[in-house]
Order: sequence, then structure tokens, then C-alpha cells
Amino acid sequence: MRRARRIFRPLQSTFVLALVFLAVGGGLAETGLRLAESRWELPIGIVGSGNPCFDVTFARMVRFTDRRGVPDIVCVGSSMIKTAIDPDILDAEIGRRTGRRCSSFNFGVAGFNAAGAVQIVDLLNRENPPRLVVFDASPAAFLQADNPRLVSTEVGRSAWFRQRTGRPSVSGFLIDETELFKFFLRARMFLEAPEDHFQIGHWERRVRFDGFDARRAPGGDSAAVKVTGGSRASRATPLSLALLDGLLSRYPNVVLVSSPVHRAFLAHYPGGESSYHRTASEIAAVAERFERPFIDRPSGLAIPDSMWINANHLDAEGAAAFTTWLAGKLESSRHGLPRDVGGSR
Amino acid sequence: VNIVSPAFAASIVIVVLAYRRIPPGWRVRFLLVCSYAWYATLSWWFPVALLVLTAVTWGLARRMSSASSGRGWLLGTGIGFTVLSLALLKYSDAAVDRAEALIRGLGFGWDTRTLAVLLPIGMSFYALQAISYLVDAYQKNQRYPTDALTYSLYMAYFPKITSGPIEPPQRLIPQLSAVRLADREQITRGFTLLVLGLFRKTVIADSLFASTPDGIFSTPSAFSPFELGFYLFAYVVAVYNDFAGYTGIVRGISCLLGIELTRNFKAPLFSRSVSELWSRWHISLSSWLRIYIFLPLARLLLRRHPSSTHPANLLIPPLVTMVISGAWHGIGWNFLVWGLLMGLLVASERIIGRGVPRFLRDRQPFWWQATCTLVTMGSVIAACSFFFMGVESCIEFWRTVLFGGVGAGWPFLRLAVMVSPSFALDILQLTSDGELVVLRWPLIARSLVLAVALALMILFNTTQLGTAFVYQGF
Repeated sequence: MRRARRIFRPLQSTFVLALVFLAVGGGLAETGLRLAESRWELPIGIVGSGNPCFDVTFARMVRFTDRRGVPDIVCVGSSMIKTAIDPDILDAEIGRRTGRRCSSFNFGVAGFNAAGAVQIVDLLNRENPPRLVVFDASPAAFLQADNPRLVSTEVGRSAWFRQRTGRPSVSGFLIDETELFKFFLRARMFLEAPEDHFQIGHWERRVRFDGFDARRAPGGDSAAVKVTGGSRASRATPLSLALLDGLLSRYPNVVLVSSPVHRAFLAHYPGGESSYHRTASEIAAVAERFERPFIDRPSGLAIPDSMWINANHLDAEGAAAFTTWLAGKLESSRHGLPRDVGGSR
Repeated sequence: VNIVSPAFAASIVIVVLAYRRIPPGWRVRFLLVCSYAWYATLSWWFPVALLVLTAVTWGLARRMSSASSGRGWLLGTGIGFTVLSLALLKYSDAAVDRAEALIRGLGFGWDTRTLAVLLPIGMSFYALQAISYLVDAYQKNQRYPTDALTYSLYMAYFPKITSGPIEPPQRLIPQLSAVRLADREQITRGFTLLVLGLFRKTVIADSLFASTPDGIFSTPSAFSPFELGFYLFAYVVAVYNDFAGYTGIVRGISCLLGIELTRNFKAPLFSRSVSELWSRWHISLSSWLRIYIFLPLARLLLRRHPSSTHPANLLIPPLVTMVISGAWHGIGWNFLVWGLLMGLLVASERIIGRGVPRFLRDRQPFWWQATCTLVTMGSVIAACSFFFMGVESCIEFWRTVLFGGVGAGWPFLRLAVMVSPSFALDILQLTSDGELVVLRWPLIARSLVLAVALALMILFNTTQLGTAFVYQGF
């Protein structure tokens, strides 16, 4: 040890002072970023999940929690959920119906399917479990749910997610514990992956603080309703009932909702409309087994063609209609809305 | 081979500390064992190939030193064996693949997987050292210890085995046999070189590689001309920093053991001519090529054509030297074309240089130097496109650059941010006439720079998978 000290002595002062600079500089930068005012002035830092929409939505959720506490209801799913549920309207509707205050957050992530959404539920329930998780269990969400190449599963492979779920690493720790590292990742994304950086900016502009996609409808009639290429091209894979089974058995706070799709979408669903309804009934059977509701859109809820952005995404007016209907279903469902939603926590 | 890894760093610390504790008489053996052991971690076959080449060339060199006749034959045999071994291993895969394609084309099935032979990493580098040693023995120019152990360590010395520097025997062997421990000054220099090397590799080179789109060299028509131009420039800067970073790391490690390795780069991107570039870029290879190819050939031609302005004297030495350099770098026509272009650039400079007005040559005003640097870098970067792509892709690349591609991407800002540290380091080293200028700075400035470098290295290294050093591919 003495020998080693003698070897390194010439560099000792430089290294020690450098470490002091590092600690002081890093500490100051971290403190600055953590200050609430600074955080609101800056664009978001990212967690390097590989899905820009996820990174933005997660950052929004952290800010939401900082300002308003853990949300009572979190809606989890794909872009279909993101565009279908307006949390402000959900809060207002539940407040009107129950007389209690409610806070909800839309954690729909573009590019996700049911497999990705389950990862979010795992994460939420591990740390700050909401009273209710509204989980998108529409048959469309299960398309390619077992495809490992989908973006949604990349989140599960990221260092940050692994750190959060008990598989630590240096980078995972730094991303998770420091704001500085999140902003460094953002800067690095600008340098090395400009397309992803552009995507982050795109989602930052589009997603409001509470996580709702506020795009307006392009207008028009039924002719404007188009089936997105993805669903037409998607290969139907066997429904991963085990995925749903595991989710419901682990978390009693999960209710299943089928996000709305236009009738044009049903015809393009792999296997056709009958396949879509068959899958929906399989999902309902799983929910039944766990005595949970599966809130499927009844034919009674008519959403005009003008409220669709395309065959599986609603515009703001469509979202308002669907959210109002959903609030009623949650309120009337025996297992849907916990009695203490909006109560003191 | 990732020498930027915690495992490698830990093994270096152990080796350096152990080296300082063991008795002087055992230090050469210790380094030799460490070198072979480390080389064996890459593949069991690599140390075998190294041992065979070492044994054969050492045996021939000994015979040459003692023989009074037939020494030319011995030298020819030694060089022939070394070059053939290298060529056989380097080109065997490509040759077998082509033979397989030919035989399959004739309608026969032939699985050549069993014939695949892996070229030992670093063989291109230590084979040149073996030739230097043989030539020294032939010229009876060996004023250094010539025992088998020291020669074996000269060939296998672990910091430089995978990618050089290519050390001349008269420089490295005396240091190896002296077994002198590093003093304080060397340790300080070693750490500084190490930090600078790591910075160049992890912060500059890896970022530039990562930011280069996948298809830039394979499907250039999918990019705009500006993008192609900027990315080609950035890629050259990345390769430079990758190799300069590697050299800095291995020189730093070697300094900690008290052994100095050759400096391989001196701000090459500020060269004012292609000839100057080759005295600043991969200096150890350029020196080897100059001593063993260029000068003998130039002398030979000068004997035949005594006028120094004779076209043969002006053209042939640079062309032959650079084509050989191209063939050394890799398999494929593109490397030969790259070498030919480089040779033509050097030869044309030798011809045009004579027409430059005397006052410009003597006074070298700044605007003239800047113009020369820009012209040199433009032509070198253009020639380097053949280094990175096959000939057909390269032609497609330049067709897109000249006649337009898709889109209007403008990655200037991002790339400028990423290449600027490289240029800043080079300017600093150029203007202060020393690669370790930072050591002359006051303690606070030195520590501040180290803190920033450490922070960036930690941040960059924890967020990316390290890429292999480009020159280990040769």
C-alpha cells in the first residue's frame, strides 16, 4: 500500500483537486436541476428507454407527482389510450358523480402494446401504486404482444428500467438517481440520434402536462376515417392470456378497458371482425375469472366519424365523449372505482 | 478486444504493481509471460502464430549475424516467410470465399467453414517489426542485446501487440533489456497520456462513430450531399481519434512500466501537404515504409536515373510505397485504390511543389498555410472514402455527392460540437509544441481539465457499448 502511494504521489494533488472539482461541479449542477423553478424552465431529461414517447410521458408523470401527489387513477396502454382518455374530463366527471376530488394521469405510450403496458403497471405498483389502474385490454393491444422486437420491450431492456426493477448497474443507478445524467442523455441523444431527439421534442410539444394528446380532429366525414397501416400489416399472434392472467393475479387495482376503435378497424383486424370479437370475449373471460370488470365499448356509445383521427385514434372531442362514458362505467362498476378515490391519502 | 474496460484496467494495475516488486532479473520474463497470457485470452491460436514467427525470424537473424556468406538468402528467406505468413493469413479468408463461390458457380457444393483461419490480431504490426530486426541483423547493425528472451518480448510486448506502434528494434529492445522502473516523471506522463487517450477514444471517437448513420457508406443515395460530405469528414476525425486514443492509452500503460513507445500522431489534420500528413499520421508505420520501402527504392532508381527530376524518381517511390501501405491495411481493391490515390497525391506534390514561388516556400504566410491545409485535407478525406467503402459503393457515394441525393439533412451543428474537442486538443498541442502541454499548466487549471475529462469519460462510457478499435481490424 505504501509502495502504491509512492507511485501515485506525483499525481496525488492533481487527482484530489480534480475529484473536488468534480464533486462540487456535479453537486451544483444537480442541485440546480433539481430546483423546481429550473426544472420547469428546462426541456425534460430522459431515461434512455428507447421510446421517446415513454421518456416524455414518464417525465410528465414525475412532474405530476411532484405537484399533485400520486394520481388516483393511471390509464395505461398504447397511443389508443393516449388519445381516448382526457384525464381532466375524467377528474371532473368523477368529481361530479361522486362529489370527491380525483386526480388521474394518462400513461398511454405510442408504440406500446399490452406487453409494454404491463411493464408500466409493474413499475407503478412497485413504487407509487395508484388506487386504480385503467389498463387497455382491447384486442388491438394484444397484436404482436409476444414480439420481442417491438419498441415496448426495449424499455424493459434499458439500464434505467432494470435498475428500477432490481437489476442494478452503474448507468442505471446514475440515470435513476440523478437529474444531471438524464439531461446528459438528452444532450447525447441530440448528438448521436437526432431522429430520436426530434421525436422527444415532438412529444414534448404534443403531450400536455397531464399526459393527454390534445390534437384536434382534421375534420371531415366517415371518408376521413382511415385504417392505419400498422393494423393492416400486423400479423395476428396468439393472444397472450398468460400476460393478462399474471397482471390481474398480481395487482388487485387493475381494471380492464377496451380502448375504442372505429368499425372500419374491425374489418382490418387480422382474422376480421369475428376474430376481434372472439378475442374480446377471451379477455372478458379472464377478467371474469378474477372478478374484475372488462369495460368494453357498447354499441350504445356512438362516436361520430368526425371525432376520429383515424380508425383507432380519437380526437379531443371523441376523447371527451369516451372519457365521460368511461367515468360513468367506472363509477357504476362494483370493482371499478375504489370508494376512497379522491379521499385523503 | 476492449482495452477500455474495468477488467483490463484492473489487470494493468496488478501488472504494474507486480512489475515494480519482482527482482530485476525476472522482469523481462514477467513481461513476456504477461504478454503471451494476455494474447492467449484473445485466442489460443494467436500466441502459437506469434511464437512460430518469433522463433523462425530469431533463428534466421542469429544465423545471419554469424554467417559470412549466404546472408542475402537468409534475409530473403526471413522476409519471404514473414510476408507470406502475413499474406496467407490475411488473404486466406477472402481467397477461400472466392474459391467457394467459383466452385459453387460450377455446380458443386463445398463447405469451406472448416478452412477458415483467423488472422492473429496485431500480426500486421509485429510482422513489420520482425522484418526490421532481420534487416538490422543483415546489416550487422544490432547495437543492442540480441538474446532470445528480449527479442521475444520485443515481438510480444503486450501494450503494443494488437495495434502498434511499430517499434524499431534499436529503440525498444534496449529499453526492454534495461528493465528500468518508471520514475515520477514517467508515471505522470503515463497517466496524462492514458487520460488523453481515453478521452479521445470514449468521448470523441465513439460518439462520432455512434452518430454516423448505418447506411452512410452502404446506401449513400439515401442521404443528401451535405450529409455525405459532413459524415465522411466526421468519420475521418473519428478514425483519427480512435487510433490516436488507442496509441495514447498503450503509450501511457507502457510509461507506467518505464518503457517509452513511439508517438504515432502529431496533429495530422493540420498538415499542409500529403507528405507532411504521412509524417504526422501513424508515424511508426510511415517511418517503417520510408526506411524499408521508399528510401531503398528511391536510391535504386536514382542509381539508374541520376537526375532527381526524372519522372521515374518522382513517381515510382511514392506510388509503390503507398500501394503497399494500402495492401497492408486490408483486403480489397478499395485499399489498393486508396493507396494509389495517396501515392498520386504525394507524387503530384513533388511535381507541383517545384513550381511554387520561392517567397511562398520561404516565408510561409498564414493564408498560404491555411490554404494548403484545406486543400490537403480536402483531397485526403476524398481519397479516404476508398478506405471506408468498396469501390462500387464509393463510386455511388461520389455520384450522390456531386449530382444530389435524397433530402436536405444538415448535420453541421451536431458534428461541429463533436469534432471540436479533437481540433482543440490538436491546436493546443501544435501551438505549445508538446503533446503533454497540460502538465506545464498551474495545478488548478490542470485539475479542472482533468475533472472535466473524467466527468465526460464517465458519462460517455456508461451510456454506450464500447466499440472495438478500428485499427485492430488490420
